[in-house]
Amino acid sequence: MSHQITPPKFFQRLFQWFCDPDLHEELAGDIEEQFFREVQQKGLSKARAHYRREILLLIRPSVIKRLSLPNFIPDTVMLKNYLKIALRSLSRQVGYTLTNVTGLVLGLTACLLILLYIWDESRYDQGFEKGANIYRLNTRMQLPDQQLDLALAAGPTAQALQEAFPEVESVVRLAFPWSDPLVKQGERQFYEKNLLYADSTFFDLFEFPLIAGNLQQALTAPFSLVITSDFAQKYFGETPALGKQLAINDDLYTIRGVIGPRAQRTHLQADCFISFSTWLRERPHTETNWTWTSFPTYLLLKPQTNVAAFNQKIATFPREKMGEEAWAETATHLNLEAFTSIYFNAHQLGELDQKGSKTYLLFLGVTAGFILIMALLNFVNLSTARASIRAKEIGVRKTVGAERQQLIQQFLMESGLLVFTAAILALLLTSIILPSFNGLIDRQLNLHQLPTFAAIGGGIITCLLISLLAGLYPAFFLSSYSQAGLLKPSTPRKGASFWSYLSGFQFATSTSLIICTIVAWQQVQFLLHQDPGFPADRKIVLNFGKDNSMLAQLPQIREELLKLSAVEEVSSSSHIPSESPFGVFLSVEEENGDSRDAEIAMYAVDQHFLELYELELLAGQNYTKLVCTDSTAELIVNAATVELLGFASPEEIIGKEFYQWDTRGRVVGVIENFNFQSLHQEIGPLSFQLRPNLFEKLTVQFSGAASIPNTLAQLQQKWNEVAGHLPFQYSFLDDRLEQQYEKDQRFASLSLLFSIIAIFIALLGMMALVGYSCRRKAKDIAVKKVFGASVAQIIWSLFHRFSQPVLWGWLVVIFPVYYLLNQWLNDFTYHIDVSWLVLLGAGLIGMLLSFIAVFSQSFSTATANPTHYLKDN
Amino acid sequence: MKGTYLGEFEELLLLVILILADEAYGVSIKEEILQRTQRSISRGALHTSLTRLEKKGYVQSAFGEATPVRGGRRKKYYQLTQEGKTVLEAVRNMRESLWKAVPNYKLGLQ
Repeated sequence: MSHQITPPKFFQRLFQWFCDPDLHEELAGDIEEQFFREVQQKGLSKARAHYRREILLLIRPSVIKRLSLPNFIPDTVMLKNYLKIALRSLSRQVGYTLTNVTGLVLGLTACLLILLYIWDESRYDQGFEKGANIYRLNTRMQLPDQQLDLALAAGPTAQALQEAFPEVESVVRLAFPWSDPLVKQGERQFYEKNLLYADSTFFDLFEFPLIAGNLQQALTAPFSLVITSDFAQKYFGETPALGKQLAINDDLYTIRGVIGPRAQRTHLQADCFISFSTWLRERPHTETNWTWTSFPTYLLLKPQTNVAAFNQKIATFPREKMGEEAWAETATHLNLEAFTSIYFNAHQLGELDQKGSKTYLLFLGVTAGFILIMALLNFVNLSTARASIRAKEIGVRKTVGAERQQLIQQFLMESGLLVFTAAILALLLTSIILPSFNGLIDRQLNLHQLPTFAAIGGGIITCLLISLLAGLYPAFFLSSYSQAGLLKPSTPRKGASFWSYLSGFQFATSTSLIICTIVAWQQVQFLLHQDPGFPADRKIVLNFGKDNSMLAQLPQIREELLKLSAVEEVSSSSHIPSESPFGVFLSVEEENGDSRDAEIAMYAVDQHFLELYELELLAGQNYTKLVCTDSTAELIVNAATVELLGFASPEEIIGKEFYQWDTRGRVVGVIENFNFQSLHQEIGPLSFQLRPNLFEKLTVQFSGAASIPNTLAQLQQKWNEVAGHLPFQYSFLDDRLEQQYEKDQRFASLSLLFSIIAIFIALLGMMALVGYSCRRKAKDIAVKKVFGASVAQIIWSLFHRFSQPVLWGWLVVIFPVYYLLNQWLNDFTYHIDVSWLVLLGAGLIGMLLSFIAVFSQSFSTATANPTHYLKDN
Repeated sequence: MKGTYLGEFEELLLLVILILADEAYGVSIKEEILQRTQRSISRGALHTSLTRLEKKGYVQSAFGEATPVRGGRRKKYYQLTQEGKTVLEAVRNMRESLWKAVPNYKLGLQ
């Protein structure tokens, strides 16, 4: 028989793997005998093919070995023994146990927190029963120079759609109050932010937990309110609010329903809903005006509707309603957006709430994954390292007859014990730090949020998997040694460099996180300190809302305030920088009668605004008249408007006639661009009109010499004199600007938190590795010392060895990280560039940390008296 | 004991094992069946049946010597137990008595 003639090796092994050991000898023998016979009769390839087929045909229940699972569960006597041994060996090496568990607890906690956050984000807007069939009506307008995507629709659209298409089951329109209204009930009065006008159908589409009243009819009559229980508590305390009255901007409203807060987060989170009929009383043209696109509109479609087809049908729906000519000006198209996916979709104008960021979620998810892998690697690494110290114990066990399976059971038992302990500690730690974590990210996460069954099941499965992964390697690695090998004084441990490269991987991960953190912080700092185009310091904003008596006496109030020693300048306006302005149409007419149209932002400001905010005029001048009628209005625009409308220079637009929001007049001035919104956005077109009836705020510039509490006290005293009927509500402009970047700051803090955890885990891992290596090489080191090596040389050689993987890891990660960070930064209109210094710095931090790890672990070995280690132990 | 019923294939196996006398093991049984009945049976089916017969107590098995042609593995020889022989005999007797009861003309033979 020639040497090459053998049955297919793989199938031979496959058979051995799946065949019942009791049957294997006989069957394998039979098949092999037949194989050799057939080799002579039919040739090698046929015989081999037949062999393979025979094996595959034997995959049948009677031949396959009994599932070995029951064998993994040891009988109770041994179980007790394993437990005892596990506890003993864990307590014998407290340091090891602590390191191992700490790393794992931190890793699991980080993962749990991130998981909760991602879960919470993914549940946004998912809590409404009919949500799957609800769509938001979006409007796209195509203007000559602009395309506008609005999360809004014109007033009559919803009703007309419902009449025209049987697919529409119900519709609801919302509207925002134009300013923060003043809500009053006896002595309690506050400016409220979260009020929404809503059609009476609102609660048909979106169910909220009812506390009192009848939601079906609640929003039908004008001046009706539905408020949340918190809101009711705020104004009525413990007395039931249903049927009571609240004054909003001096009108009396009746509370017809009280609802509880929603369990899940949604962009439809208002404290108080006002009946839409109230809105219509003052603005009846809402029902007929097809160009006033200002209302968030939601459609409930019948369940079987083909949404794509329906979208096609309604796309140019307004065309016939508006008339061809009017329609051509804006080319208004409608489209539906699924309610449940609004949160992560692209931003549209007029959104009710902030958007979620998938980039952040992805970043966090990947971070969680890496942290878990790092913690796991540490765990495996440490278990293996320690297990090989216990080689003698295993040798003895083998000698007295322990089977391989029993050893495996024992190791799995130990790792399981550690992992489950770590998991329980991680749960405890998570629930302890969750409140502060919630503070950091401004959320209300809690552990009960997760679906109980899936969470517990998933948790247990994860723990089992980790125990298996962590326990299997040392278990198989050591139980495969022959006892003679294990009992010899020193068995070289294989694959030490493999482990040091895994440690390199850990450092690479930490390095990436360090880089991300530094860059995120730099970007946030950059945003916070970027010059917005006007000085933000020393400005207090006073809010008076819609109050006619205030409007009437604004000039006098200004005079009164200017008398105060601390006050330098006072200006009134409808908005202040950082607020979303009105979005209105502007039409500028040329001499030849052509007009240039665009949708632009508008602030109503007085004549002192330019001076107070130090906005420079590029052309023209400030308002010339202090009173204006509807036909002699004056308009100031910013440079971006000039560019958008296609004028060659600022001078060219001066003196042109304009039409905007029911007023006609001339453009008198052009100011330089400034960031009136956050730096996420480019500076858009902006216009100023002198429309005192829209004023709601006073900006007070105080002198640098005045102390802030003193200034505030003066202001409040004066306020009580001139506007005693209104609450004194102030804010600092620079604070408000900073709030625009809260989300980015949160991201930076999260990044910092998790990179600290990652660094800690990586450090633990390397310290353990170096420590282990030092114990093994103690004699080595002692011999080197005897031959004259200095302590520094010994530490240096260890560092040299362990830092190399760190260096490699750093080299591998910097390029992808550099690329990804640039992607992230490109989301910002204003952003920093990733500096090579940061990349270099992160590498240096990695090296420094690895040096700390090496130094702390090897110092005692390196400085010890050589004889200590050279004595036979 | 799983009752005394003997399937057709089981009967065949018992007979073949008897024929092969001391040389009845996996490969030879399979070949003998192929030669005598032109039935190609799968190894799995053969093995399942042998196991079943052994459980019923009709055959017993023992490992023989190892041979190089089997990769150093031992053959497993099968032999009928006394019970196996009895049951085979019983089946035969029953069948013969049945045969005798069949009227010749019905067969249309001869």
